[in-house]
Amino acid sequence: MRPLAKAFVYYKNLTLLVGLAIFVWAVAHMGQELPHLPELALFFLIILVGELLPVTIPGSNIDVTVTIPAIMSLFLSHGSPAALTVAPLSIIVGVMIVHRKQNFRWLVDMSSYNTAMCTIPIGVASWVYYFVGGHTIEASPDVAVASMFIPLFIAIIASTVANAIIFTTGLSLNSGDPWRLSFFQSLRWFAPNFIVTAPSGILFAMLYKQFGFYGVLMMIVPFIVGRQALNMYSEQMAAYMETVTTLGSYMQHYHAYTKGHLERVASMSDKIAKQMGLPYQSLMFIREAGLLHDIGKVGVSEEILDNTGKLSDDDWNTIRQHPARGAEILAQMKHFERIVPWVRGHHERPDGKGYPDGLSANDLSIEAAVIAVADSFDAMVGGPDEETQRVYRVPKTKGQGIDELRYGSGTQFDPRVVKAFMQVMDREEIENGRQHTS
Amino acid sequence: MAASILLSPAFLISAATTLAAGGYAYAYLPVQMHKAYRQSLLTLATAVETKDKTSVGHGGRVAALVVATAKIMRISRKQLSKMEYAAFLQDLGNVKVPHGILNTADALTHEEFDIVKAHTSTGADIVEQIGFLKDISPIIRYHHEFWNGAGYPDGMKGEQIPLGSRIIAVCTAYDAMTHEKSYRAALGEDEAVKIIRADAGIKYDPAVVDAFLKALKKIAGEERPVS
Repeated sequence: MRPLAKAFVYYKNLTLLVGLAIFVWAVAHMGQELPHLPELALFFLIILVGELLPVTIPGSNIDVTVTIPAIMSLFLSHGSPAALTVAPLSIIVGVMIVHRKQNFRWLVDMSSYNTAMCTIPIGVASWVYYFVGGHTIEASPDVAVASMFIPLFIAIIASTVANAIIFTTGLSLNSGDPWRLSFFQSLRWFAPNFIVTAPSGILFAMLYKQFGFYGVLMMIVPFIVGRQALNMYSEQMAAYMETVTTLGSYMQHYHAYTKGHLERVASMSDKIAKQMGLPYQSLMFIREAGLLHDIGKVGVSEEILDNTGKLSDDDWNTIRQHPARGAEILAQMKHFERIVPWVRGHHERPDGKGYPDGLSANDLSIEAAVIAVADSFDAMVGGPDEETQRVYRVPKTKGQGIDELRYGSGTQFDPRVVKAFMQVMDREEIENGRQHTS
Repeated sequence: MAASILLSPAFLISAATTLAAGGYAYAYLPVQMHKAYRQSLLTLATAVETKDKTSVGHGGRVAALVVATAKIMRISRKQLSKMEYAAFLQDLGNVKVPHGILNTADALTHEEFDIVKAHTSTGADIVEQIGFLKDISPIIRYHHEFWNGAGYPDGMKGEQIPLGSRIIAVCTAYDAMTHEKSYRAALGEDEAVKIIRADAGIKYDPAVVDAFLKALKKIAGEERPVS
């Protein structure tokens, strides 16, 4: 694993400290809730179950847990010290169980950081809630809606923003992503989840106040149902993306050299992107982009694509339009929007001499640059079988291909990508060598 | 007391919103997903159609006719959506047919015609390899078979031919006739209907032709509402 950036380590420790301070404060104020220990234990279990059964939002690395409504109802019915004591304990146990296979030091590190990251937004939410005049729920029918909903929504917004800030700052210190961009991205992911779950938090709190233990049981049903719905959605989304990507790549297989080429570009792009530590959102889609980068060639005449002689200006123009054409196709396909600029940019060059837009290094997405390197290398070197090599040029050896990339680094290819490519090649060389000797 | 808290506005609003959120996750999201999926298949099909300029939009238009015909025939929703996807992707196999052959205005040679005919199997073979599209492979493979057995690729006859293929055969012929091709001008709608009616029982399943004609009437009725 990559060594963590120094700034990130400081940041992590600071987060931990603040989280711990909130926790200590909460425990110290737990006094009057002590008689309710059995109920609190029940909440502990529900939150734990929520943590153990997360659902990953398709196309992202964000897990949705059914924990949020449970914490909300705990807070509304027992107050903030109880929520801030029970929730962190439950989450830390949950994280430890989920990652139990990791080594112990990492586990303690990871779970305490995660817990602190959750504790702060809960702390912010409860402070804001009281500040704007909210109060904990009573078992009486005259609970005014305004006294609960409005403060709760303000608290949720504050907590969502706090959550996104903490999450994004950690992410950008660690990976070097631009802060502002990731912030809005993560806000977009967190916000719907928090806002949609708020009413269920109130509902559960009221059921619990009214029916005690049975009220808690009633909470579990919607939890399971919601989880089921999200799971179904994830599976459908994965199946849909997979089907469409496969169809898109199979459609291109009837050009002799394309079969294999697409697979190799996809897998090489994936390796380079991982080597460069690109954000998770990019890693998720880089394979799809590799498989679909030439989809704009579907529909272009074979006589032009396979021309061994000199192309006319018209034909050359047609070829130069294929990235734009591919981008147009993908733009019409929902959930593939992210890869549109990557595909459009895969023949651009940092020196601005590429096509179709002649973009220069600053305007070019890094993912496009990754695909460009993987694509060019494979076009030069080709696959293991002769029939998959291109008709219009003699294939180069691996060494020659690497030399070409090195030669074009900075003008034709993004130097960062070339560097990562070399590292991937070196590593594979070593791994292959190991296989041969063992 | 229990009843009164359950009737309180806070409880009612919370319950309603929770139900709405559940409904969104269960009903709305899958529908959106299905739409996106359908749109993506159509987009890919259209990308192939650009190889032959006169066929751009063909798959989408045929699919609309197929759906209308299948509805008249009271075909189940599930089968109907399979037929729709098959109609989108019917000419997927054209990826393997050279540009020159697709766009020529001259009569095709024997060899060239064989290459064109292979588009049915090529398309079927592609979708056959994809788990979620496997089911529609036979519909694509046999959409150029004739009711009397004189079609291609396998010369299947009558009800041996999958129903989806029989419906697509009629709709695709109608759409092709009413649009200009590189080798001929477009026919009028009445002309096309006449030809299809004449071929019922020869090229096409008579029951499908009946339903198709009803569907056409229905579409025409919707387009020209009674004033």
